[in-house]
Amino acid sequence: MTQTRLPYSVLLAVLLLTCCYPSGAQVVASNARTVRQTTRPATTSQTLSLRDVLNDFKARYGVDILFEDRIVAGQVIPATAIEAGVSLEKNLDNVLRPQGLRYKKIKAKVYAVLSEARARKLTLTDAPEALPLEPGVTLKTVSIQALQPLTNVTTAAADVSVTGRVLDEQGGELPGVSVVVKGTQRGTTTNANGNFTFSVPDRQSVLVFSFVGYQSREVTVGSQAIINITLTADNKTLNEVIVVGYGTVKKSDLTGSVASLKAEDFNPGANASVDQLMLGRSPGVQVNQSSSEPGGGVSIRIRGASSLNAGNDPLYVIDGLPLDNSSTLSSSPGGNVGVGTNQNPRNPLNSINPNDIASIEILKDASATAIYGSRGANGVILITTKRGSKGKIGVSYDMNLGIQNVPKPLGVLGTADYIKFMNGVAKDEGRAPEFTDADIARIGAGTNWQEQIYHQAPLSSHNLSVSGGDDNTTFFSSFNYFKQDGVLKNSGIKKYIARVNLERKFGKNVKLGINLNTSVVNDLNSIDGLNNNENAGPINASLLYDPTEPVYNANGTFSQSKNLTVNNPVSLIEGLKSTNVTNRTLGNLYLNYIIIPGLDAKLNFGSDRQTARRDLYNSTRTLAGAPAGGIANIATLERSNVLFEYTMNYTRKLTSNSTFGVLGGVTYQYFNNRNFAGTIRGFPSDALATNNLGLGDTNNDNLSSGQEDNTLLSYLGRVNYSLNDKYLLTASLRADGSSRFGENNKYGYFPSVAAGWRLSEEPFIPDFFYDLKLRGSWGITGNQDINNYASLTTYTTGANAVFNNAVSTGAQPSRIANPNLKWESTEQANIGLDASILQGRVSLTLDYFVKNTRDMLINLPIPRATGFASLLTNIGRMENKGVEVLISSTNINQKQFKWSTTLNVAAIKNKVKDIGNIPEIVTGNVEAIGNTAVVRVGYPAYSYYGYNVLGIFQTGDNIAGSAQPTAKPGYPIFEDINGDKRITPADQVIIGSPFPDFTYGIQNTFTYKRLQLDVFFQGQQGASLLNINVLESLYPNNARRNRLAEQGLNRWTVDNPNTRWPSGANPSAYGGGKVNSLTLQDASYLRLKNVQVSYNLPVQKIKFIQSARLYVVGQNLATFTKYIGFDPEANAFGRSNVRIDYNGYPLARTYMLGLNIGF
Amino acid sequence: MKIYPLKTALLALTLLGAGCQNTLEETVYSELTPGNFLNTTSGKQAVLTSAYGNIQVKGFWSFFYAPYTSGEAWNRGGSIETLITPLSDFTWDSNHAWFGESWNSLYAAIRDANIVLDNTKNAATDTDKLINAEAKFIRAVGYWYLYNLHGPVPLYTTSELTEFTLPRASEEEMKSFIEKELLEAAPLLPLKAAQYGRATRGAAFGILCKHYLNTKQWQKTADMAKQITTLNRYSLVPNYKDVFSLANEGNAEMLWVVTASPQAGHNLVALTFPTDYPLPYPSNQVFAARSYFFDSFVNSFASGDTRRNLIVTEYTNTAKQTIKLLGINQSLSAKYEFDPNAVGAVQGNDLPVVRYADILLSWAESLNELTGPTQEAIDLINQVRIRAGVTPLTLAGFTKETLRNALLKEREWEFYSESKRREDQIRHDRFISEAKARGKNAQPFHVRFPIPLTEISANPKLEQNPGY
Repeated sequence: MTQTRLPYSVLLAVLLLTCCYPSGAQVVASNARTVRQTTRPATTSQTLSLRDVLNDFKARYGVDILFEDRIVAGQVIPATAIEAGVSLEKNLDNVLRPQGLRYKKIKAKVYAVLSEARARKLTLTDAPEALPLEPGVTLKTVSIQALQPLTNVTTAAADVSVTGRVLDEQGGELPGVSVVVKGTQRGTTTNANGNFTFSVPDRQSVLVFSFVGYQSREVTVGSQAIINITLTADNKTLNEVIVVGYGTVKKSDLTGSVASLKAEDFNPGANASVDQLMLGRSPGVQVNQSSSEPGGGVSIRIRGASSLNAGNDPLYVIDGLPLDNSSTLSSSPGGNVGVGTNQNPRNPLNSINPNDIASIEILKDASATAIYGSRGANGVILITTKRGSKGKIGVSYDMNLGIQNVPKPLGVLGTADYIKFMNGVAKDEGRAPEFTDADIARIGAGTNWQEQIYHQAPLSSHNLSVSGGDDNTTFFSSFNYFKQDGVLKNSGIKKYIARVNLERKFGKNVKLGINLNTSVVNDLNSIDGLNNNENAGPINASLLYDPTEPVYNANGTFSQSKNLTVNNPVSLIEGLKSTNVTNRTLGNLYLNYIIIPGLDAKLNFGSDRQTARRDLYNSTRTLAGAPAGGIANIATLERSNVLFEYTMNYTRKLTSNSTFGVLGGVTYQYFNNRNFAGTIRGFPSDALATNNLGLGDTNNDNLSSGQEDNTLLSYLGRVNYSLNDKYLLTASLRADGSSRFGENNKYGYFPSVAAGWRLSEEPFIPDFFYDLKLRGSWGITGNQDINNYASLTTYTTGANAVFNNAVSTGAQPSRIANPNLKWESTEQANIGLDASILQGRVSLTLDYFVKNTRDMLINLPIPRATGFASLLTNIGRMENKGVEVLISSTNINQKQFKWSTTLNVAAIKNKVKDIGNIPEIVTGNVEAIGNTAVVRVGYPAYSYYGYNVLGIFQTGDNIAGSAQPTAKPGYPIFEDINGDKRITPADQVIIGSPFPDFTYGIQNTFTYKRLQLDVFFQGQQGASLLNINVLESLYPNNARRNRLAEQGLNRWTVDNPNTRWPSGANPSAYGGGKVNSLTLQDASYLRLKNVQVSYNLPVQKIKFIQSARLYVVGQNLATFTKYIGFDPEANAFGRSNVRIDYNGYPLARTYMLGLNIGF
Repeated sequence: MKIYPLKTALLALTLLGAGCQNTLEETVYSELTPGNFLNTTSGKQAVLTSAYGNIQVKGFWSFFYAPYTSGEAWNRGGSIETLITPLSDFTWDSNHAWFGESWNSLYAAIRDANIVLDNTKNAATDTDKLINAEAKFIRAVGYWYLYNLHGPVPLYTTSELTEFTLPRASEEEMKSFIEKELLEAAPLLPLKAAQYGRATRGAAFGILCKHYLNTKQWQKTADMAKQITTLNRYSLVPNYKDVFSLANEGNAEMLWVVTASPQAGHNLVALTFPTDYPLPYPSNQVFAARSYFFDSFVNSFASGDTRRNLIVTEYTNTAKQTIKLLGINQSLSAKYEFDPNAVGAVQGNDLPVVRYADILLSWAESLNELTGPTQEAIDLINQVRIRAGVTPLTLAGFTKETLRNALLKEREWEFYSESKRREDQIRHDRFISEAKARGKNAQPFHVRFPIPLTEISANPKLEQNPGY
């Protein structure tokens, strides 16, 4: 049998080789046709086993074909029946029809083989006939219900006659569905049109409909004479197809560590972006909402932080197009506009519609990611959007309406407590009281500034999609409108996204497709961030501002405290506006060509183009805007990339039980971005904002522009081999060239190998295991996520000098060049186990990995006396190792009530192993506070660095003999690490790690009849987080700034000696605003992230509606934590590994009402 | 047959890579590449401009190190309180943010100067020779500041670094390097610069004179002061107020100033006045931070001293209340006036570094240290006193010690808000004792600021100043 395929294999191998040496391609290609035609007659006399043929089709076409052993047993077909270069459907017809069999397409890439005779007989007789299905099916994927043997129906006198029709989700008839009276052997099957007629004993009878590959359903007859039902495909029982880099693979054949999330695994409700769908859903994938602002930044760490200074975010690939996910314009531009610097950029994935996503595959180990080479080290997220399928046109409409609020404002001192605190501290410092009785009487209730800046905010989203297709063309199109106001006044996001996915077959071998996504995202930004004083945004100002001040003066203008260089918070809300408009269109056009069966070529052309513009106007109502006469800033960004990719894929059955596949390709991607920004101040009026910069003082403008590009050129290859469906082997290699690296190091090579052993196929493994697979992989991936031009010396804008009272702009070197700059490499080894029992009801995925990053791209500090802060160098090593566990279980599976649980846990340890010749890198600078973190060998990267507080000096302590001889009772006691009887910077130590010990997510789903309840918890344990708002409260920059209530009310006094918080008197005399263990907090938390109650409306009787679902979702309902602050996940540095919470945007509690209708 | 071209085309695409070898070259669009750029005069001038920008020091440190450590002023309010308090209280450590800022900006000037010097090594044209001399001047001024703050520091003298880490120079190397460089640059520098703000011979001599004074090289101080008078360019401006007025920038008294404009200025004024102070121009802005003089200082001026007129002792605030500042240690310096062209808190007042009054008093001081009180010294002091409208001194009755005290007192009145008092006190070993007298826990090692902690971490060859 195998010889029959030999000629093919020879010529295919030749063809494949020619791909690598294309000079002779034409000749060889034409020979190929000739050879095939001439060899064909020689195979006429040979026959093949139908079972082998079907198994061969599965591999060759990358589909799943379900069949019962019984109906194919002993069937043979002539080898000539199989045609080369035709569709699977054609070939299935060729091999099945002569055997009296037919096939049914259950869903995309899944076919079931049926006995046609059964259906034919049914149509010939009026009397229903039950056909017993025989046990002994080989596929474990066949559902249990389908195996119940049926006996002939015996019709009793009192029987009730019912008729009906069974359809699949796409509206197609389902023949051969077993219909059984529950608890009896009585039953029938549907005919070729999906119809059945049948008598049941009484109207209380329950009918059980079951079919291979579908979820069975039960219906009580009741008063119905006609029972029409729809069966839905059962993903659990099917052999899932997983999308991997440059291809797909059956889950059972997977050797790498890949987390696959389908629509039902996503977080429910209206999600602003794709990454929020995944939050908490997959072990080892930490999705942190670094800013909870609508449309705010998200940082994703797959298996920890693998780089110190290069990027740590994964590569996103959407339908085969790798995205440039660099940040879009941040919400504020910094100093020259008199507002703070916000390092939390807008989320670049805002321009993708979460409702369009069919599945998300997260590639975690090197075997899965090495095919992406220099962009694989941080993991890869493959996003697959929905396609249309053949059949009736389906229309789906989703609507969400919601309301968000701030569950709990930060506890700062209220007016009365503030006055008491200020007067108390003044007394302790030996000053006159800040507030006299007359002042207190005048002030009255004062102002609660947080109440002034937060409000209840609405959220709404509408999504309409239409999909369908015929034999040659399928399409999916959608339109999404999403609007979310922020809980902080004057912030929010509004966006419109449209998508078209179209695929068309031309003849038998050619398929052309296009995926196109276009979007407009309007952001209304909040401007909080890392800055202080007059640059502080409304959130910071609301915490610091004096609660005894009124919002407005008597004349209606904003009041402004004379004690504080902090804006009246309301003046920031009303006086400052920052908007972004981002237009982004991305898509790809692809051509698939089946050269011969098993060998196909794919050409993929993609592009991602975005233009963004930010307008910021700081009006004369703010501290900075008033003297400037208004400050206007416009910034634009154009970012584009082009992908050109060619791959060939060959799958070949070598022997009856071994399969070989090979993939080869070349890919080129070019990135370009251009920016322009201008700031002008001095406007005659605030009325026009940024709409007429020419009205400003053009002698005082500030302009900047820039352009950058970079290129990747790569060659990739992968080999798969499987033997007996038991032993699986995958190896891949990518040669990646990047313009970013030094002259001598343009190319990097990224290999991987992986092996899988399906133990469940072994006879010595008990049948108890439904599936048991051991996986192991090793590989090297790279990281090239650094700035352009890092290997070159260039000159850029330098310091400004003043000559003749005018400004002259100088030029200075941008950096010290490093011509030897090369890739950062991450070597990763992974061992995994997939196990499931009870027909897949309980499954477990376990992975252990060790990731070693070496030749790290480190900004190595060099003496500033050289004129440079650092040199980007390939040096050092860092390790991440960890365990990931995913457990899914259907706890209760009864007809009325179902309960399933999914639990994911990951524990990842990060450790810096080497940073060259220097002992440590102190970094993470925050304005007016200084450095906050350290990179030191033997410790987690960016550990918090500061002084350790041992307690509080009490009256009568031997202060003079301590390391702080000038301290007073009520001052914190710092640990004198080096014992030199003084507190100096040498006494700073690592006081905490930003990495959690473990992270987890728990999903519970309860289904009762039409009602479903989903409850999702997620959290982390053991991480610390530095809260600069706590530090600011402990060491106020100015005595009159407000404090956190916890510190203010519970400060040390003679009468309150047992407290952890210092006295607050002369705070700059103790600690000087530096990081210490009091400012670090335990960021462990458990969050009730989502609760969803949904109800499937009974709409069978409404002709034009297929399905309708009504649901209520609550998000962020409760957070259990000791953390003081809005969110223990916040990071003011955005995606950086230096984690601090500073003016975090409050995480809103959201309630949503949703409706989903399918037409 | 018609399918073959398609197959061929697809297969031929694998050629793609072959034709793209040059695609990995980097094109730099918005920055300049050094090769050609540094061969041009405008290129060298641009880097020199950056060097000037960095040596025209306007960071908070540049005007706050001296007044708060010497007890000239005290501060309340604003977020810089947390940075000023350690300076006032002698509790600063190597982690203080300003030490890093001053170190970085001064060495940035030295870096830029080194680049210019390396590219004008064999200067053939007059332009190149001048550029070279200006760069040499800037580098010397950079090291002069650094020596003043930290003592000897590593001498980086080339941009072509083969070694990033250098040890500190010795005391003698440091002193003589500054001297040698200024002496070399001075003859090549013009008496009057083509643009106000650039280096002149007078500037080089002025810095050198102060260098000699602060290193107690008395004879050289006197000689240099005398040499400066022979330049015939510098004189006292008749009215003390005019020395600092915006309208009179570039006046005859200035040897070297930090030039400023509202577009590249400083916040000194905004950090001095309270928020309820009536601002004269709509574009003015002040911060919540205030800088105050003690009553004892304000009251020490002789009556009729016009220099005291630039100190605000009471004002009518925006709420029309009269606020008396004298009596509560809250008098304000109005030496630098509000700038009508200010861009918010940023003003363009030039900040003097070396002015002729300082040369005169330095000269007098060196003469006194060399020989004790002389009429020559008294006359020099009296030039300054007469301009201020106070009674001239007479030689009679002065000992070396009492004249030294009188000179230091004179310098306090003359140079308040000009960042002189710290070095004056250190020169006469009074920095620590005066701090102790104010009740501060000052130690002898405090006369030198520590090397910034980050620099110590990045350069294992650096030894920290003792005590830190």
